Amino acid sequence: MLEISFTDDGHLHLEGRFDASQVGLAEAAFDKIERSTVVDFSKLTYISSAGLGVLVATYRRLSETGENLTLRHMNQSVRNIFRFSGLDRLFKIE
Amino acid sequence: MTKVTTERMTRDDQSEQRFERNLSALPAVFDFVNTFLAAHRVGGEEAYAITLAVEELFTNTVKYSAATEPIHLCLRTEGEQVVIVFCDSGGKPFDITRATDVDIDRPVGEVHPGGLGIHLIRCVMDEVEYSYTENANMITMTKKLE
Repeated sequence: MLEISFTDDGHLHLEGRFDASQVGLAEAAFDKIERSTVVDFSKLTYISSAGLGVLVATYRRLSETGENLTLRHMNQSVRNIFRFSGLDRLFKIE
Repeated sequence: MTKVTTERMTRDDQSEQRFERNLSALPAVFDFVNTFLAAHRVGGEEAYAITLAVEELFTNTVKYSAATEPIHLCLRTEGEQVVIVFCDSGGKPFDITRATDVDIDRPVGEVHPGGLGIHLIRCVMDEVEYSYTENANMITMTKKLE
C-alpha cells in the first residue's frame, strides 16, 4: 500500500510500499508536479524498479523545463536500490 | 502451509503456490512471500531483497511472456539460506542470467528504467540460476542469511 500526499509547502510525501501494484496511483500524483519538488521518503519502506520508473519519468518531464526532483530522508534499504540502479547520480538525494 | 518456527531456520521448510499471470495478482504474491518470511523470521535487508527479486521476476514475466499458464512460485529454506524457485510454464526460453545488463554508468540524458529489474535481482541475490525444462523457464535464486 502506498499513500501519497502533498503538504502545504509543496513537498510530496510517500508512505508505505512503492511497488508495481501502485504505479497507477503514483503516476496520477506525480503527473500533477510541474515545478521543482522535494519528495520526502522518510515513511517509504520499499521501492522496486516500477517505482523508480515513475520517478525517472517525472524527472525527464521536469528536466525539459529546467525543473527537478529532490529526494529526501530515504532509509538505507531504499537508498541501496538507488545506488544499485545508478539513479543516485541522477537525482539530488539529501 | 508454512510451519511457524520459534527460531529461524530450525528446520528446512517449503511453501509453494500458483498465481494468475496478471499484475493484479501481485498483492497475493506479496502476501505469500511475507507470510513465508515472517514464519522464518527473515527480516530487514534480506526480506527486502527476496521480496524485490520475486516482484521483479513476476512483473517481468507478466509483461514479456506470452504464456497463459499460472506462474508457480516456491520458497524454501536450506540451512542458512532462502531458495526461490520461479517457474514460468509455456513461455519461450529466456535466460535471465545471460540477459544484457543495463549500463548504470550511462549518461544522465539516456537514463530510463527499462531492464533495471533483472539488474536489481543480480545485485540483491547471492545466486541466480536458469534452466529450461519441460517447456518451462525455471529460475532459482538464493539469498544467504546472515
